[in-house]
Amino acid sequence: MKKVLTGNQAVSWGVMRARAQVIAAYPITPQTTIIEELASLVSDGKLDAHFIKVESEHSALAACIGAQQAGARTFTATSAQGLALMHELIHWAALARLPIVMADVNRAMAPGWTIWTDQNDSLSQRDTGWLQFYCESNQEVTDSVLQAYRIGEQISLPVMIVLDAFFLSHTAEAVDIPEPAEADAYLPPWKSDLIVDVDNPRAFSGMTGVDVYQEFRYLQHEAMLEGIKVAATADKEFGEIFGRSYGLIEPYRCEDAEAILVTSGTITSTSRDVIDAYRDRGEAVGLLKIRMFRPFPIDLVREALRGVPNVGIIDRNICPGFGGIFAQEIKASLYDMEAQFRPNLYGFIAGLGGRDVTPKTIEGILEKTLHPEKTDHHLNWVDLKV
Amino acid sequence: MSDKKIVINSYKDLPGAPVSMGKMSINKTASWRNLEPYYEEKAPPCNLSCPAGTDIVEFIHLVAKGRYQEGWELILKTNPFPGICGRVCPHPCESECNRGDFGGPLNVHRLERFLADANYEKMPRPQYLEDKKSQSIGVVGSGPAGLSCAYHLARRGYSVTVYESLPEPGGMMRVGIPDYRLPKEVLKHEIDHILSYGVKLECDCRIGEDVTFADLREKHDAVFIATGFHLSRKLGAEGQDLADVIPGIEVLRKIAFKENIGIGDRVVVVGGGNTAMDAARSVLRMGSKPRVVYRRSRDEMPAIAEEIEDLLAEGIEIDFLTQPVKVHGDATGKVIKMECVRMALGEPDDSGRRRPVPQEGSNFEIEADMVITAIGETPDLTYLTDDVKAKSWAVLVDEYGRTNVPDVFAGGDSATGDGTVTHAVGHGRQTAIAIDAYLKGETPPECEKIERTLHGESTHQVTLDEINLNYFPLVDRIEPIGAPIPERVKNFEEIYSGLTEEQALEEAQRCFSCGTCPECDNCMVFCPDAAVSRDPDGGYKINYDFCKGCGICVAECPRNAISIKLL
Ligand SMILES: Cc1cc2nc3c(=O)[nH]c(=O)nc-3n(C[C@H](O)[C@H](O)[C@H](O)COP(=O)(O)OP(=O)(O)OC[C@H]3O[C@@H](n4cnc5c(N)ncnc54)[C@H](O)[C@@H]3O)c2cc1C
Ligand code: SF4
Ligand code: SF4
Ligand code: SF4
Repeated sequence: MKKVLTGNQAVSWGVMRARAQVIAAYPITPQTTIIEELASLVSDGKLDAHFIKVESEHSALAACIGAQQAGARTFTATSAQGLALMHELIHWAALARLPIVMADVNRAMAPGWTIWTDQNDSLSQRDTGWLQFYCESNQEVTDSVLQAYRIGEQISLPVMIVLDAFFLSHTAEAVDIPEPAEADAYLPPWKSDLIVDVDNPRAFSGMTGVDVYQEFRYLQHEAMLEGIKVAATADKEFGEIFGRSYGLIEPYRCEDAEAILVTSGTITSTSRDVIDAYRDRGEAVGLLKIRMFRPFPIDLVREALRGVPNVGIIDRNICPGFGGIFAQEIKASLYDMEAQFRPNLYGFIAGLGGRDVTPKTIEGILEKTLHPEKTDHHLNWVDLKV
Repeated sequence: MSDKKIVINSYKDLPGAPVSMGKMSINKTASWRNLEPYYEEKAPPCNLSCPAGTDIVEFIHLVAKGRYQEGWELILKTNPFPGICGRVCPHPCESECNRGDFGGPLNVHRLERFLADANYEKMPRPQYLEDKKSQSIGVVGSGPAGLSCAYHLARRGYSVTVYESLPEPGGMMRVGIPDYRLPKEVLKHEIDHILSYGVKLECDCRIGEDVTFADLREKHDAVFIATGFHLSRKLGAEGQDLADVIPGIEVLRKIAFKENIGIGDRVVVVGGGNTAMDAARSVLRMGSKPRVVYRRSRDEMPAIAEEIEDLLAEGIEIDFLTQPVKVHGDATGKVIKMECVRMALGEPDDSGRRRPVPQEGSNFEIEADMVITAIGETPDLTYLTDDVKAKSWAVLVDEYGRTNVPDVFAGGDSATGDGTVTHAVGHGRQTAIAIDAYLKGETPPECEKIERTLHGESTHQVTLDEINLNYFPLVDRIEPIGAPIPERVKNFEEIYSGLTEEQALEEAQRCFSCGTCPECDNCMVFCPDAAVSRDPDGGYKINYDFCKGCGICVAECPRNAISIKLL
């Protein structure tokens, strides 16, 4: 069934098709319309779920943790300060190994108070043990929600689906909604032996001694790495049923490229047009979209960038005192590559606080990557008013 | 799951998440405890403030559970008049209700009435507390105090005779409060129930006339006096003795007994109490145009607030700060007008109310052909023998209703002047307990213990800030609406209908159940150490091997039925 949906509605419809059983969330722009839509779907009887109203994002995730620990499939959504408020429980969910799914609508952190997009909110949660997927289109949003449950439940880890404020969240596109029967076939009900069972009382998340804490961390890390394979399979099988798949990363027109741009989120689709224009002019440039940020698909990235002379990485985020966060990850991934195949890397910061990243901006970045004589390897501020 | 020690040699031995692999019971978490929770029911403000000692919180539970007969019989343990109090009680219980600032107080009196109405077709199962005894008690006056005392004594096995000067029993419930507020069938039904305990009733028998007080004491092992306030204060103004200047209680009594009284067209009622309100509203229903004059302001009016509101709603005007100076009669002695003076409020007097002072030169006249006086009633105690100590306004008694003479007890208006049915009922019960103790040669139990119904030892009054409001939606009080005004003023039909069953259930759900556990299971559900379980004997028990004193049960008890102490 095709419907014209905003990115936020696309999240909600994905959650409905995933048959989430408990939803708890607290409103915050630009996320709010996700839970509004879900509240309607629940109250209209289209989704059989408990919708729990809470007094904060912290409580929202706490409610999901409790429900998930009791065996329910859960969902929450938030943005920016709301995500930050959840932080303590974001760790908790991952260490308790609860495959909760959350949508984070990327919104820049305040102050200055803002509702527009950038990635600093979700990237601040990098080290919490959640899987993170950055989406490019509304279709990808719906599909990623279904995939998220499938992947998370297989490895007992929570998953964050990330979409740009307004560019996706409030912009409508045609979305092909999976048929319920097909969605059910793709995503069977969740089962786990790490949930509360009244006939078999156990203590959950209790005091853990020095003798085993590190082992639990090891298990969590291993599960994360396992997630790369599981996600690849989940994406492939999704493609077999629904005819759409995305990859964990997506190289676009990268054949023999002189320069490649690395992007995430909606900057990707704008960049595709720029790349097409350059290719039409016969210039050997390409694009690498990073969809899965955690776990970071190091091997796939290395393979995609191996032997490319120049690589420009666009970060809609900033790690103050260091640089772009995607750039860091890519640098770290390529460091031990043989010198002759290791590309020159150029970091670009653009579009913070929702500033438009136009085709012209991207062309500028691409030029600086193709002709990097004056380009800084580490950090280049784009469109900065100086 | 095993009890054996579990050894972890490899990460492969671990579950995926930090979840215990053995039984939790080996971990006696109580060893961390420095605070200890314990179940302790506390006093709901409603229970503490019902003069009749009604177990309000409990009867509301029973309404909420649909157990109407049990609820009714529970009230009857302390108060034989739920149908009456549910209609006319000024409900001090509601003024204290913790819901007051959260949607309005529980409509306790309507729920009380609901239980009486719901069981109207039935007679309750007899609840004798003790075996039959040979001693007898004489009760003077069949008002609520006398009947309540008789009822509580009869339930304790005594033989009781009630002497009543009027032809019918009930006191002011029969000859004061009019039918539109209290239908006579309700009164009859509740009196019949008292009589079903073998209480003998002698009407048309005035002590002091038909039988002397000395003979009465001779005849009975103990005597209880509750003769009420049946003398009316004089107007205290010129013309007070004219034929058409009539006491309000006399008017009401005659109406109650369907005696003929020539009601005037323009009646002035003097006073601000219940008698004034009821007299005015009664003559309105008989076709006259009444007007009330009261010498203070509305704030000082002693009448029940709802009665004042209803009177005004019925279109009767009140002249506040107005005092009669003279009733003018014509040559034949017929009243033609009343002269009044305007008052201003001065310094507070002994009653704490501001004293009205006449404003010189403010005299004016009201046309009238009848004046009803309702400026206060006093007791007639002339029948007493000299050894019983009394003042002109009351028989002197202690908190149990004991006079200076061991076999004579007194209560109700003529001893306390409290002026409500429920006070009279409570007093009658307390005195019955004291008479019982006297006849057994015992000292009565502590008065505080019998005055109000408590659910445990604690007398701590639960306050609103001790209620966990997260558990209670803000829902408004349910109030039935009365008959339309033009209809109600045409006759003496009861104005207010009771709550429907649906309304009663809804209203009962609003009760916080302050300090009293209705077994909501919250403490059990929330205890993170699963230390709380249901006690097979009712209620809950805490396993002090595992309770680590976190206090979550205390915080999550919606109603403060759990306390916590430092070890
Ligand atoms: C008009 C009016 C309206 C009222 N409205 C309300 C109301 O809405 N709510 C409320 O709670 N209270 C109300 N009251 C007050 C309430 O009725 C009284 O406080 C209550 O009835 C007092 O009870 P009692 O038993 O002390 O006396 P009473 O009810 O006065 O009963 C005393 C009885 O003793 C009898 N008696 C007197 N002398 C003798 C004697 N020598 N021998 C034998 N019998 C004798 C009397 O005839 C009477 O029957 C009202 C009172 C009046 C007058
Ligand atoms: S008798 Fe009066 S005070 Fe007592 S419960 Fe009934 S209404 Fe409330
Ligand atoms: S809420 Fe219920 S228990 Fe509490 S004071 Fe009111 S009637 Fe009594
Ligand atoms: S929490 Fe509920 S069950 Fe426990 S004591 Fe309080 S009222 Fe009773």
